[in-house]
Amino acid sequence: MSKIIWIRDLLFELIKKDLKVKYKRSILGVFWSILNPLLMMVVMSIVFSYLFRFEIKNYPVYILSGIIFWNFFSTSTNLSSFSLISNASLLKKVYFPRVILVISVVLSQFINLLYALIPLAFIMIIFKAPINLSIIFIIFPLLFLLLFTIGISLILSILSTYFTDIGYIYQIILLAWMYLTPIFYPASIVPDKYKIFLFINPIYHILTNIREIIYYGTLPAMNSLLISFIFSFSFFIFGLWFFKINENKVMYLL
Amino acid sequence: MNEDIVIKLENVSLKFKLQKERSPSLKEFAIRLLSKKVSYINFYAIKNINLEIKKGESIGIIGRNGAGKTTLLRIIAGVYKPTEGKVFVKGKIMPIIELGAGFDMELTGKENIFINGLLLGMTKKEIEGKYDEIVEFSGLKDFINSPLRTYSSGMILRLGFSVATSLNPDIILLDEVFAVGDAEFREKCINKINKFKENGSTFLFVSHNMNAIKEICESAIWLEKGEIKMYHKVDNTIENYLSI
Repeated sequence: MSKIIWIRDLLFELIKKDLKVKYKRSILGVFWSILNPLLMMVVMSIVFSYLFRFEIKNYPVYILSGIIFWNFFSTSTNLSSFSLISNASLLKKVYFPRVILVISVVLSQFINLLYALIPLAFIMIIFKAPINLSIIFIIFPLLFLLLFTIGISLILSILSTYFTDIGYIYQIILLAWMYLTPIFYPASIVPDKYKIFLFINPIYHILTNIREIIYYGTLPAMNSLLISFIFSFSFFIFGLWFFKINENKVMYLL
Repeated sequence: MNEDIVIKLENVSLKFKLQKERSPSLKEFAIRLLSKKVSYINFYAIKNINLEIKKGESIGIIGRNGAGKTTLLRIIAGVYKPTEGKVFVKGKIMPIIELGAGFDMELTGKENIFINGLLLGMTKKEIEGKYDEIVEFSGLKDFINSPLRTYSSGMILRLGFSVATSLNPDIILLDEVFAVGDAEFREKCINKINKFKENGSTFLFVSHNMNAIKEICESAIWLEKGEIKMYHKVDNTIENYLSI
């Protein structure tokens, strides 16, 4: 019992530390979490609606409802791919459940994501996006996104301990992944023969759920919600298992 | 298991599978794998160690660099899992393999006390209860709300030691802790350690400083190439170790 309290306290304190260190020396502090997505939205809206002329109504809402969730995923996985390596000296000093280290990185980013929902709500109101009770369902895709991100983060944190350059390769993969996911553009412009790439992309399914709720103001379709769940849950379980069987081996490599 | 035994190692070995040339880059590894040039050598960091340590014993661990002293402490602390054999440890461990686990330079002394204490296995409530005592012992009351980057290395060491010793541990693992720190603080540490000894804590102490080992320990283990070469009264072991 006291072990559970200890793990909870430790996790909580590591998250607090992450957030504190991040904003310690900046004047605007936590407001950056709110301001950053807004500024990105402005840039993206200008680039994509004026230069590329995508015919999407309410483009700022569309883009914001994609970019903040993608940012959470990409930042978390990127940071966690280095989380074991950069804490090597700590891991060699004391024993604690190492999985906490990765999960705390993801959770502190998740708190940032929750902050970013504030400007999203603000923009939704300004651009008169449909807002109704179905918004409560956002909890599901959010949870799936969290599970999927933890799963990928756990796998990456181990792999990059075996091969340091995994972390760098992953950044390129992320870039390709971002453009292959309908974040800035509508999924409808993807030619049919390439639709398979959308289908195998878990982030695409989660974003679809999110947009149905936030952008269209409807309930997410049951079957797509189920697909998101299966994808994210399997990656989560696989990640935990992969971490478990490798964590003792990578200790010697740190 | 005998009531008094707090640490027991049974045929413990730690085998590293080392690539002859370590290839930290994926590309290199792939190339070598394809050309079948990945060869491994087995390397025993710790080999076939049997050890029983009773409650209240204080034992020094000596040996050359790379003999496996720190690795042995890490196995007892649970940081490394041995590849063969079994490890039994009973009670709360204070691993001062190095002081100040998880200290962050941007955070204040106070914030670091909490992080460090949690990493050493205390709950938040326990740390709150001991907070005043920790600050008192460290003698850093006036600086406790300043970021750690403004501290000197001696001050950081003091903070680390103060947190670690507030744990009331059953087993204490020390690794070259007195390499830094001034004479006054060293004195304070020795006093604290002696107090722990009176309370029945068990000590394992790795050092190259034979005088420090003689001061704290009753017996000593001499490690060589991962094996126990000698385990005897402290004077005996040290004499033999120095005579070669």
